[in-house]
Amino acid sequence: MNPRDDKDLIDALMRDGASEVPPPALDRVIKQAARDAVRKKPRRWMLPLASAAAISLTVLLVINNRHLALPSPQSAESVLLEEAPKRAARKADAAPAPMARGEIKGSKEEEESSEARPTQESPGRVSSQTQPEPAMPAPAAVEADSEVLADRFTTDALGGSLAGLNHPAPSKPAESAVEEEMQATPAEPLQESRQRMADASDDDAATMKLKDNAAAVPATTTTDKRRDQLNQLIEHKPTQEDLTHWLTALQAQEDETLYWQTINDRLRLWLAKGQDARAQRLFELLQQRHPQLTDETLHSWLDAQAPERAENNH
Amino acid sequence: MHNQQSDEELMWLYANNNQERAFDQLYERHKGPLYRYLLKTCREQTLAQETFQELWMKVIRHRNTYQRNAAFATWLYAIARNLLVDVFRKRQRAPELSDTDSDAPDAAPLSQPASEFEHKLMAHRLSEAIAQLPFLQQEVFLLHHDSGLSMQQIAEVTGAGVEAIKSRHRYALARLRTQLGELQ
Repeated sequence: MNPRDDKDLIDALMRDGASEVPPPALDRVIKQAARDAVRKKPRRWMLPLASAAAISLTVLLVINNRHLALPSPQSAESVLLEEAPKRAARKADAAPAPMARGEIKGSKEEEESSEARPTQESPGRVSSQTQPEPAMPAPAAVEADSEVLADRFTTDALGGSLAGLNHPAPSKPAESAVEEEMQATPAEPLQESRQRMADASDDDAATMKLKDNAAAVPATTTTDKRRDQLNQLIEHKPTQEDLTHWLTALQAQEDETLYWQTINDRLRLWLAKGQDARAQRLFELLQQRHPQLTDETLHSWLDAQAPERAENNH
Repeated sequence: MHNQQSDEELMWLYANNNQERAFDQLYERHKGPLYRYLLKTCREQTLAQETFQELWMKVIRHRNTYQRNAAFATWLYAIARNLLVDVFRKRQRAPELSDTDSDAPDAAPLSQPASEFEHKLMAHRLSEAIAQLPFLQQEVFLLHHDSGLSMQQIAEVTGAGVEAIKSRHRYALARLRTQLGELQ
């Protein structure tokens, strides 16, 4: 027999011995995997991208709605800022140095009747109209209750936000701010001033807490710096507590644009890095604070983006 | 007349048109030879099955990287061979990589089996003899006789020259002939 015959024989033997096949269970697993692979619609990289886009849009919509509907909190702050020196000057004019207690009180009452009411009403209106969802304490809402609060807002609270432009130093504690005010109006009785200080503390305890948190991040002259400092709080594997603290400190900055922009950037960063769990936790915290950020909003936006995603996919 | 689609067309349909049936056809066509190739090379059923599954998962995952003008069988067996190399590396059992047997015996021709029983017995012995071949000869033999790849395709799969493949095949045949002849 020649080698050609040998080869044929070996081929024949091979065919006869070729009975081994993979077990049926393995066949099923592989075929199912092949089906799943082509049926799977959103690819893995699309979900974080879509989520980031959805959150960004939602945040932008919220900001836009607030800005379109009502005057911004900053404008209320600006009004207060402008009013403060004028009021101080008027106080100084109305209360020259040695003056009888009754006279001081009388002049103060006049002042309050003529000035305090509009001052109260202005932020009060902002509070009731501009804050349909008071989850985020806007400055105007926080400082709306009394003239004392309005005065302190100009000297203290703004130390953490817009007043940073005028006061580069870190914001001062509330008491020292009020004491400063007392020095600026020497004719005012000490007891009355202390009472005002106490009232201020009671009425605005929550705000002061926020400001204490913000004090960890001193007001600087630029928004970027403030944002960087705040972001250090959550730079490395932030816990739930860290995130809450970060949000609180961010709120206490009393700069709405900074607030949403920083959150927006952070969410996008985490989602881009694939840190979906962190982004999810943050979004849940945001939902707790801002009920308008519902799942439905997110889903409807995702649906709206479906054609664009499909196009990107191609 | 049944117009059978080529492997390449089926793979293209699966990868680009998401046609599940195309994959099923491909799978049915190649599962037997591929499984036997892995089984006879690994010599261990569990390992062969794991490698077989991993191989098809790779095909599924990388379906979009498949080029239609490339021969599917070559692509498939190249993946299989890479997996086998990984398996050997993990097992710390390097395959015997000698290219040829310098002392390959000049074997006598085989005699045809007289009965069906004898035929089956020879098939069994052949299977054992294949298992004892050096790895490089074994893979050439299996890819050619079991999987039906041409010498050119085997050269592409293994990355060796066609002449080297032919040489390995020649030595493999000589060895098998000797072993089977001794048993006759």
